[in-house]
This record gives sequence, structure tokens and C-alpha cells, in this order.
Amino acid sequence: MNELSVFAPVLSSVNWDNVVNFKIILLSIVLEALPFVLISVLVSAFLHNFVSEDFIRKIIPKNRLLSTVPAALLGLLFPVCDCGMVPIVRRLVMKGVPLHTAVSFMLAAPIINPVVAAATAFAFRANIDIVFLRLGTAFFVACAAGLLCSVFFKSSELKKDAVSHSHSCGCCGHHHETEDVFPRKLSLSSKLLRTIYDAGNEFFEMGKYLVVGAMMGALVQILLPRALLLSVGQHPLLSVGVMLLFAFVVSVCSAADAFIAASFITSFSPGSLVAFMVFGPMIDLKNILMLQHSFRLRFVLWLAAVVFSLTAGAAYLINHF
Amino acid sequence: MCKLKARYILDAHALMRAAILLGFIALLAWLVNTGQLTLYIHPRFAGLIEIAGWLLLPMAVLQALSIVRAASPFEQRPHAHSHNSQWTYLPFLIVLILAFALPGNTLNVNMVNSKGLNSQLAAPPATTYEMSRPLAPQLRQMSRIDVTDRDYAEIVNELQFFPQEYAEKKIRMTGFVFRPPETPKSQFSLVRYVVMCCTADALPYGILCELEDAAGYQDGTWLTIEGVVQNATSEDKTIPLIKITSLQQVAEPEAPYVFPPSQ
Repeated sequence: MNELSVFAPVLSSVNWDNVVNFKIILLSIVLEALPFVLISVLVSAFLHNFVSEDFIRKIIPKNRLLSTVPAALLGLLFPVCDCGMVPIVRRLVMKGVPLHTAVSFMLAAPIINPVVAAATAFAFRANIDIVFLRLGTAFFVACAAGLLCSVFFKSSELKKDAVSHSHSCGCCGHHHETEDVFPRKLSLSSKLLRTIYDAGNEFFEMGKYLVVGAMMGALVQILLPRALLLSVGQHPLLSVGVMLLFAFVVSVCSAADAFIAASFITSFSPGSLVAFMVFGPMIDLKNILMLQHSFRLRFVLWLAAVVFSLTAGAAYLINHF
Repeated sequence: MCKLKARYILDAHALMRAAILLGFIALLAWLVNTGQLTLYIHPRFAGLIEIAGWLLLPMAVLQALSIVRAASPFEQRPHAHSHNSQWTYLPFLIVLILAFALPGNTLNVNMVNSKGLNSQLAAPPATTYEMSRPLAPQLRQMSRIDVTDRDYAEIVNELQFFPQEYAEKKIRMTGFVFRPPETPKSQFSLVRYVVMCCTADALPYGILCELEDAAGYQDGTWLTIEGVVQNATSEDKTIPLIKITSLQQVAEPEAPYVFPPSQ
């Protein structure tokens, strides 16, 4: 049996014991992430209903450097999960916020914010330096990508139909749904009700990626013997590549990915875990889909490639440090 | 005028969402009230889980309230343009079905292989404990080391990294039987899962034991053993080996995992 599970993990894994193990691991990730995801969607819905984009735009300076670097720190005031980022960013760009500012905000805010920092610190209590490496790397990548963007792209890069058609992506579908349910002129109490309603809808938008991510994580844990992972996981470059790929596929929310990364702490190099937690919230399957709904494909691919290279480079350096 | 007559819309999305949110609230309440929460996460998260339950409640109520609603005159067919199908709820349903339908079980011995036993890992997993040895003075004084749930991970690490210091010490511990590949007939490892945050990060910690009729105990059997710590060599490393003097087959403990206390 033991030999079998090494040589044919897939075959031997289809048995009752592994189904039970799959359930336990899946549920443990979901349960642990749930409070953070709920807080994140509530904050995001609150901001959606109570803070206007005009206000945010007003405080952005015209200077390229002055607008890119603070934009990367805006998440500290504006703690959104990456799942809610793309619709906001598109609206910001439509309202005249420079593309590079929006990009650096979009890349950094899902990571450099109190909720995610707290979740990461929880998950990596034992290795607190990983938390700082994550935040630092995210800051560097977001600023660098934003500045490069200001060099390469002068226009808004928005898709033409995205400008006229204000609900081009499924994820913002609930914004106009809510307007049907609740009246337009809102008192404070109905604004609060609407916030909770929005949060509920956003929970489903994000939650499904979390659950699917947790499922893939649980499957990987069961199917891959650690000994096999260890051989790749400690390689300074290969481990980073594997984790970047993993981050792209699982599309897990930035408030929860730290817990998934923490489950790999014994088998993967620190650089690769940081890469997972930096690249995932910035560019992943679900973000790319939402992005190419709103922006030109050429720009989306450019952005993905730049973020990929910057993260991989930083992670490689961390592994050699 | 038929236009003024109120039309009512049954919102299938709201129905599904309300049902799933209620399902999650029921799941959390059930896990907390039956004490099963520790099968999944470290007890220190219990408070957060309760908060999550209370946050879900108003969301569920608001979704439930919008299941049936009057259509506004301007509204077309609801969700005519929605890109979301009911498939998006499948992941949530899978979680709820797995949670309620499968027995509340513990990670079983199958996982040890994919996780890798502490003694097999290349790098010691607990860089956490790196050379801070709070228990060492206490353990040295004891005539017999009684391994408690609380100190399990610490003590196993002590034995693993400093086997010479504990040679000829008496020890009493509980765990389940596991045999890594190529274990001699007279040996097995006595193992427990150590959980830092959630069961997803559970790591099997074990110590090699020696017993003449070791073959009589299947993998996954829970034992309380008494024995003497000895030193053996494996791949040029000194490792601890407990020579079992007496043992007792026991039921799986109610708290099968060990949770190292928060620092």
C-alpha cells in the first residue's frame, strides 16, 4: 500500500480514507479563512457605499512618482481583497485616474492592507519575517510595475466597449441588482443595510475562488507525497516557478492565501512562498479574466509578464539571501 | 392598467445564496456546539469563528428578504444579462455536503506519507523551536518523562535533536502506530499530528519505538506506551529509539491532534 501510494498517487488516492482526509483539509482551510474573508467583504462593501471615488481621485498628485508610490500604500486606508479590485480600478481609470497610478494601487492594495497583513501574521506566526518579506516585495513589485507602465503606456488602455457599457463583467452585476432592491435615495440605515447586502453578494463572488482554491490545495496535499515536493520545493529557482504557477491557478483571495502558503512552509523555500503570496493577489486566473474584460489584451498580457518577472526575480533573491 | 399591477419576481440567486449562508451558519454553530471545531482548526480561532457566524447572519437575512420581491416597472427579466449561472454555487454546496454528510473524522494514517514524518524530513520542520529549549531543564529533572498533549511537539523535538541527553530516561507517551517504508519488523513509529493553525498544516511528529511483537499492531492503532529512551544510528545520525517495556491499546483521544500553545 505504501509503495503503491508513492508510485501511483492518483490511483491509490481514490479510497475512503483519502476522501475523509480531503474533507478535513478542505474544511480546515475554509473555516480558517472564513472570518477574514467576511471582514474583508464587509469593509469593501462599506467603502463601496460610503467612500466616493471622487474623493480618492482628489488626493492623487499629478507627478508620476508621487502618484505611484502613495497609490501602492492606499490599501492601508482602503483594504480591499483582490477579487473586488478590477471593477474599482476600471471605474477609477474611467474617471481620469492615470493608468500607472491605478495599476500600482491595484497590485499593492490587496496585499499591503491591515486585513491581509493580520491574516498573514496569523498564518506565519512562527516565521514572522515572511510577513515583512511579503509586504516589502509587494510594495517593490507594485511601484516598479506602475512606473514601467507610465513609460510604456500613455493612453488609458481601456477597451472601447468597457467605457460605454458600464457593466461588462459579471462580478459587478450585483451593483445594479441592489439598486433594484433598495431605493436610490438612501438614508444612513438603508445605506448600512445595502452595505451588508453587497457584502453578502461579494462573499459569493470571492468565496467561490477561495473554496476552489482550498479544494486544489487539499488535492495537492493528498496526491503529492511531501518527499516529492521537497525535491522541488527547496530548489531556489524551480520552487519559485512551481509556486508562481500554483498561485496563478488557485486564484485564492489574498485574505486567505497566507494559510495555504503556510501549509507548505516545511516543503517550500521562503522565496517561493513569498512569490505565491505576492503574485497570486496581483495576477491570477480570475483577475486576468476580469482584467481582459475591461482593458486591452495587449496591456493585460504586458502587465502579467512584468509582474511575473519582477516577482520571480525578487523571490530568487530572497532564496539566496 | 395592467402596468400598475405589481409583478413579483422569484430571485433564484437570492434563494440559493440565502440557503448557502444559512447552511454555513448551521455548520459553524454545529461545529462549535459539538466541540468538533478542534478537528479542523487551532482552538485559539474559536472566537473568530463565532464572530464569523454573527457576521453571516444579517447577510443571510437580507438575501432571504430579497428572494421574493416586487419588480420595478423598469426592470426587465431579472438577471437577463448576468454572467453568473447557478454553477457558481457548486463549490459552496460541495463544502456543505462534505461537511454534513461525511462523518466528523480525524486525519488518518494515510496522510503521514504525503506529509512526511518529522524524522524523515530533510530540514527540521520546527525552525520555530530553533535552539530555544524551554523544557530542557525540567525534562532533565524528571525521573520519567510523561508526554502531555501540551508539550508533545516540544518533547519530541528535544528527543529528536538531542537524543544523547535523554539516553536511559524512562518515558510514557500516547500516539498512533505508523511504519515508514523499510521499517524493520520489530519497530514502528508512534505518531501524533501537530497542528499549528489548521489541519491543513498538520504535521506528523513521531518517535521510533522497538517492540518484539511490533508486527501485531496495525498502522493507525492508538497505544499508550512506557519505555526507555535509547540511541540508535540511522544514516550516520544518532536518533532516539524507545524500547517499549509495557503498552496498552487505547481508544483515539477526543482531542487527537496536539496544538502547541501560542507564544
